[in-house]
Amino acid sequence: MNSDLINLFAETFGISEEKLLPDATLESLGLDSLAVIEFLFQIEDKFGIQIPDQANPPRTLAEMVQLIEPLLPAGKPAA
Amino acid sequence: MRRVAITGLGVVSAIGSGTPVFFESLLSSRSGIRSIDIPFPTGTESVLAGAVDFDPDPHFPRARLLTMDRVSQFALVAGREAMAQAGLSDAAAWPSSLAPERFGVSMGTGSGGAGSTDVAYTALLEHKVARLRPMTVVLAMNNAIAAHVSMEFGLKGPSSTVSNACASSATSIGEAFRQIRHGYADAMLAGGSEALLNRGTIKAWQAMHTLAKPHADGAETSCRPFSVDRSGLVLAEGAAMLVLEEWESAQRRGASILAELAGYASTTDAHHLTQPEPQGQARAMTLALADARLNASDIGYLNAHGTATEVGDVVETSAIKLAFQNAASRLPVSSSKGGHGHAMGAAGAMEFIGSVMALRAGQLPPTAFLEHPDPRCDLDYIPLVARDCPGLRVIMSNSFAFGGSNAVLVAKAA
Repeated sequence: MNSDLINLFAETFGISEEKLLPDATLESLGLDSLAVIEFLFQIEDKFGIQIPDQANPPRTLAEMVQLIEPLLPAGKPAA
Repeated sequence: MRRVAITGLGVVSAIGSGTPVFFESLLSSRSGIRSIDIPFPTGTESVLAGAVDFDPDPHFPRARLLTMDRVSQFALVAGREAMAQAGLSDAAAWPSSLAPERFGVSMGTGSGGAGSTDVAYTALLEHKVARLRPMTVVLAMNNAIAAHVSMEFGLKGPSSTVSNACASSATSIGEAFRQIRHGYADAMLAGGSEALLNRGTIKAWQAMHTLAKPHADGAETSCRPFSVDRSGLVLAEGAAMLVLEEWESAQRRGASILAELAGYASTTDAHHLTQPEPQGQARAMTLALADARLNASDIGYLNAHGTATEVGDVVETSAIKLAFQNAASRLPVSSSKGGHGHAMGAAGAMEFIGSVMALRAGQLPPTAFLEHPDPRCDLDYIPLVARDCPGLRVIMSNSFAFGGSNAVLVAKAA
């Protein structure tokens, strides 16, 4: 997984990186749907990107990274 | 008529968090008021405030903090203390007679998530952002506090949020009392929370010209209810929460009953937006006594609203005389705002908890810094030093608000 995104995730939610396994559900990490929306908003602001609205919002960490990573500007540091 | 037991208390305040610390501070006239530097766009100013020394991180995971204003954080910390004291922290361990659907929430707040509103307006107008945080609405909405409290403890009964300015949480407790008394709920978590020490709210209050100026004896002594050298109120923050239960239901589950919430009344002056009126306040006291089926002479301690504004102190003194008649001169009265400041929507609950603690301890909190009483405030205002009052059986707590809202609570020893 993109380490910059994982770092940012760990920092935002105060969760140690060892717990951030790809299959970990966002719910099991203590995030409800509103916290996910807030995090995606922060990502958009930080990287100047726009994440399209999701019919099926990301459920796991890997799904969230898959959603964000292709949108990140190439070569731009993520933290 | 169903009786109402108080079985849990919780406080977050400028003079300490946790009910025992809070009460100890009240008795010793410890002040939590200080000068804090606020960076306004026009320059930093020192502002007197009863700010709470509070770090949310030990209390909440960061994911939760993204959706929770400071005002809700205070309420949850106070609510946890109250629920723990009542032995109800773990809903799975509740007796089957206590149904979550019959356990409600009644919150008071003046400004709700005002800090989040201030942050949003700053982003929009000062930093000129094109869009606001997605959580702006749910952080700021007044009933978010009750929502967080209900989710924390799984309370599915009636829920309401009272915004009656400085009388908000006395009213919310009184309305919760009625929910139980009249059978709409068997238990209620009731109280108030306020977190308004942000730039916009402070500037708005400065413009009212009711705020205290720093006193020569030190910033911490600047709120002086009933004193001739008073100069106004001091804005403060905090929360106070109580667990209320139907008396027999509390007894059946073996709860430790701290006191009985025996009477409540709410009246309106219908007179002026900011000028209080003695008749409306007196009527609230008289009706609360009648509601508790008690006489004026039964009250052994009155916690005054006592904000340390000239008009407020003088009018309340007149109102107490109107309500208590001949008993007024013998009635011990104090205001605790000299210590914790004016916690606005949380003030009524905070002061009612202080009064319930006084009832239990048989000790009356003094009026801090009352060295030179205003001759127009000539009741027994318990100056400076706490007083032993063995055999104290009944207390009253006054809360009066801008807008002319008056709320009075009466509690009896269990």
